[in-house]
Amino acid sequence: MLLENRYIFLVEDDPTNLAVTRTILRRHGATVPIANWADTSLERISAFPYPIDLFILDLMFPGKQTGYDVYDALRAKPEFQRVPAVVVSAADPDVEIPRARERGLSGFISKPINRFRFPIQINAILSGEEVWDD
Amino acid sequence: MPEEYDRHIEDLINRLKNDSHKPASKAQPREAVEATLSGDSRLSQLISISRRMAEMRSLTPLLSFAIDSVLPIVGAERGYIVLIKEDKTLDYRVKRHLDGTEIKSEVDPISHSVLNEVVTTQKGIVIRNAIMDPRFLGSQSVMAMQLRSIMCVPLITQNNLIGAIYVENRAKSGRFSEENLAPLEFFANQAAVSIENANLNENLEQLVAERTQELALAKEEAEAATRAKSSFLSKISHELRTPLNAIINFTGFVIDDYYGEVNREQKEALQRVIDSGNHLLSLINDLLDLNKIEAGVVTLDREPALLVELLDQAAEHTEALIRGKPITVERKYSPDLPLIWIDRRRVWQILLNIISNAVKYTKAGSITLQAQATEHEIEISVKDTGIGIATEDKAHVFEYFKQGVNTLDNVVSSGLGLAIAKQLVELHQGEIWFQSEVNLGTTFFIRLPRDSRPKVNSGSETN
Repeated sequence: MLLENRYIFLVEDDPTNLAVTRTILRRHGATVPIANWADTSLERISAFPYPIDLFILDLMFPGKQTGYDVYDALRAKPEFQRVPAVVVSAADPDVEIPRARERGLSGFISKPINRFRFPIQINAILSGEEVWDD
Repeated sequence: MPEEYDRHIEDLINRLKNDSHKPASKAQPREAVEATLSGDSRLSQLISISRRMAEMRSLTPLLSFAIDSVLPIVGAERGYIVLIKEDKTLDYRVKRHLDGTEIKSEVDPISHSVLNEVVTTQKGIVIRNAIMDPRFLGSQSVMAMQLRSIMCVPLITQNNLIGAIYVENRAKSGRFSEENLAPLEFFANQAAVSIENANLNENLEQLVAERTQELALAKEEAEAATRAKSSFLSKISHELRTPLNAIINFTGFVIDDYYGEVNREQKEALQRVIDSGNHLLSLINDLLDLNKIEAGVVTLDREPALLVELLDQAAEHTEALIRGKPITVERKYSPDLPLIWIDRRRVWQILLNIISNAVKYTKAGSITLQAQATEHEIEISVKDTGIGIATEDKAHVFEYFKQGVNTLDNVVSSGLGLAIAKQLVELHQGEIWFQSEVNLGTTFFIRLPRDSRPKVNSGSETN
């Protein structure tokens, strides 16, 4: 399977959208631990016992935090500095793609995601490519 | 004797009044009038004051100058200029002592009875000793302030009473006589014209300032509204796309038998849910796009692109859209088309919108992609053998939410695709047009400059 033995950490607050992404990724063999952006989430992510291959970040969280803040917090941890991260969001790609590029993320994938294309896009990012999909 | 003098002055006043309106007086030149007056230094003084006043454009300095000038001439110790405001109330604009200082505000600085008399009769009045004057016996203000010598004349211009000049001497009675009234009236007439002019001038300036400010404000508001609309639509778009993610994908999971086997009929029904979801999605995207283009926030991100690549992709996409209809896709373009500078994503969007229309309105036949290049331009066309556009619809093809009368069953369209295509073509400084005949088909043409980048100064191509 395309994403066999991959550990993809999903930071997403909306349970329904979380289920969409997780279902597709698991279907293709990935292990998908999850976190929402609560205060404890960073500890939770750090406590995950296996090496993480990729972070998938939503952009909108309750309050003023955005996916970029999550990204910055993750990047501040030495163990996550080399782990790629991709934004998966329903936000306006015209606005967010330039932001995400500037921050150093590996890609932006628009919601609604395409259940056939999404695993291929994720695999491309895991192979070191960038994916900017509006 | 006083009567004769009055007539003489009135004559002069009339001439001078005419003179102030029409510089080249047909009756008597100004010099002649002045010569007549030269014997009376008071009047010549008044004339030179009048001239100064006529040059003054601002009301407050004009009024101060007027009262300061007139007090010594008529021998008064205090003077007031009262203007009648639009709401008919009185505005005590200037209150001055002979030495030019302001009279500190008093509750009731002048006699209302006297003022009322002047305002009502519109005639000047001289009072030798107010407290003894039978006309003002009942006046409280006269008694309370122990008023004595008073002169008051109306300010009249073009038959309109605009106020009054009131001068007084409280200490002594008998300071003013009828002889003093004529020069003051003459002065008042000149002052009234100047006041009116200054008023008009100030009103005009104020009006211009107000309009300028209003316009600036309106512009700011319009821009703020555009930004607000843009950001509102952007938020709405996020809110609408989020549930679509679940609708489209969970329906897909059921179709893909994630939760157990589903029969063919069920799959077809579910596919319709997905198709409708995707249609709704493209509608949302189109609306957001169009709004951004209109708000002027879309900028082209031009890069060198191989047109052939783009056309090949477009042809493949057309084949995918046909979905079993008996339509062939013809590629009539040379593989050696030049490199062009375009916003690849936007030109792709233009092509998609045209192609999806061609597929929608064609039942059978062919869709032909053509392209050619000239020295500075490229021309792309998409020709179909579809139902064509009715003559009465041709003028509205690029308008929003317009779908022609000539249509097929089950065509779903946002009615925005061609409007967006046109806007994007124009952003590239290109042109879009079409030819169509009912039942024969439609051809859309796009002409784009090979390089529509904004021109920079030549000679700086060092790197």
